[in-house]
Amino acid sequence: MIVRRGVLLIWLAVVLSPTELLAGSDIRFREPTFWEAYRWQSLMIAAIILVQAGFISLLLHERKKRTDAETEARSRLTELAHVGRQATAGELSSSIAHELNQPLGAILTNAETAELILKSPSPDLAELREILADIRRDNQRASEVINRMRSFLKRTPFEIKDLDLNDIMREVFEFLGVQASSRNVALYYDLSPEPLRIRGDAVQLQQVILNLIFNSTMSAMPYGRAVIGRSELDGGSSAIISISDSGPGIPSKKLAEIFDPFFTSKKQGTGIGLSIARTIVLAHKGRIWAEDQSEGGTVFRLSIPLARQ
Amino acid sequence: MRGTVHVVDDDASFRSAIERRLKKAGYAVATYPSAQQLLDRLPDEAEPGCILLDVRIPDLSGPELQDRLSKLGSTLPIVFLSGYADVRTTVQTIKAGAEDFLTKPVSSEQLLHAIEQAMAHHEASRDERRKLDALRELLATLTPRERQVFDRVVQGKINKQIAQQLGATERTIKAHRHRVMEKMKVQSLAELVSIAERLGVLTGISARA
Repeated sequence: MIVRRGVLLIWLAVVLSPTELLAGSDIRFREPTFWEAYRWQSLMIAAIILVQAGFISLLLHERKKRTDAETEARSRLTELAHVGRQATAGELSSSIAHELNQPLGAILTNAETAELILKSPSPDLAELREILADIRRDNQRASEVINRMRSFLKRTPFEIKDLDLNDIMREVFEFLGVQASSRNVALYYDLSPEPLRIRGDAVQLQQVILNLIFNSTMSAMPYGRAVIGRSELDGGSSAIISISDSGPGIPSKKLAEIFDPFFTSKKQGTGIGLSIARTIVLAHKGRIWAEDQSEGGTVFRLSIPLARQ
Repeated sequence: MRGTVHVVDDDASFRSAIERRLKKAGYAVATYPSAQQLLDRLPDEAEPGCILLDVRIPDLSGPELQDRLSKLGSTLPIVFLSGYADVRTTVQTIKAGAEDFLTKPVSSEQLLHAIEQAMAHHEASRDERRKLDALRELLATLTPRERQVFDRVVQGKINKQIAQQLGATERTIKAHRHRVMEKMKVQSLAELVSIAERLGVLTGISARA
């Protein structure tokens, strides 16, 4: 009402000329204060700012909670993947032994030959030099094997990088070659001619493929003798990897259950391999599923979205 | 020359190390990076030799090569040398007639011992084969009638029975028998029976009888 009165007074002052002013009356004009003039507006603005600030801090809090949860999930995944890798490392022992014993065997034989040469009255220095060079090369080879194992078993944090899925497939299949041949299973792979560029964590994706191959090798073991890996483009948006075996297949009502934790059909199985695989694939925004093949055996497929160019 | 060692291993570095060592020991060495290459140029069986075979080689594996070779009638002894020996493969290869199964890294002493034994076995089996071949040649010189007499003599039949069976006089049979002993270069019936046994003649007869 102060505002109204102020205006009214000004109006009166203008409309009523001093000459027509009633006797005994005088004009008093006072400028209304800012508070008097804009009290409601000010209150509204303050209220809006307060509400907004409340909203913002709420959102910030939510965001922090979400990133915390994500970090936690990622470290759980890393942990889980690490456990899974350690479990597979045991099964990989024959590959490791073979890959290490190859250079070690050459080194031992070369060293013994060198000793023999040194015992002769006129040692052939050129041959000795050759032997030493070979020993050095084999030594490097052995340490590369160990480094590769260490990087495989290391607890690496989840790290997203630009990758070619074909490289990952190739590495795993070559790594497992020995393992499979000692189990009398043949491993074949057939890669797409074009690179499959995705974003993801190389070690964990390797583990997924490794788990799938292991799973297929086990089921192929007493029956068929081949596990086949394929990679291909699925339209322009995702890459598909399939691992198929010639084993007895999985009853179709169980196909949905196999990715559940602790589901296993093997005597020594822990039932975590496939569930870890699914967790990792989901973390890559991908899908993983199993199908029965018409010609027998099971095929596991996983699809991972391609990286945007 | 102490014979040829045929080394089949896909690892170039290992092949050259082994080749060097075996040559120092006085063996001739032939190396093959894959099983197929050995099958492509099969070693001469007449020469003393043995095969040093890796279990895990690309394409055709060591045990598979062993199987192929035995189907081809090879008598070359095989010494397996593997980077990793699982029980199953070891048993399988030994059962299939492998001479020895060594694991890498192998000491030269162990390796040379195994190779020496393999060579000796090969030598002995070649020797045995030569003797059998010679006996087979002798047996082939018998006339059909003499062979009939031979078959019956080693079964322990007496002249009278043989004469009856073949419809001849006892004297003729006696003469045949004499010639068989001469041709087979033996002095006694016991020797004749032993030859028949070694050549598998006896089992052949009893199967027919």
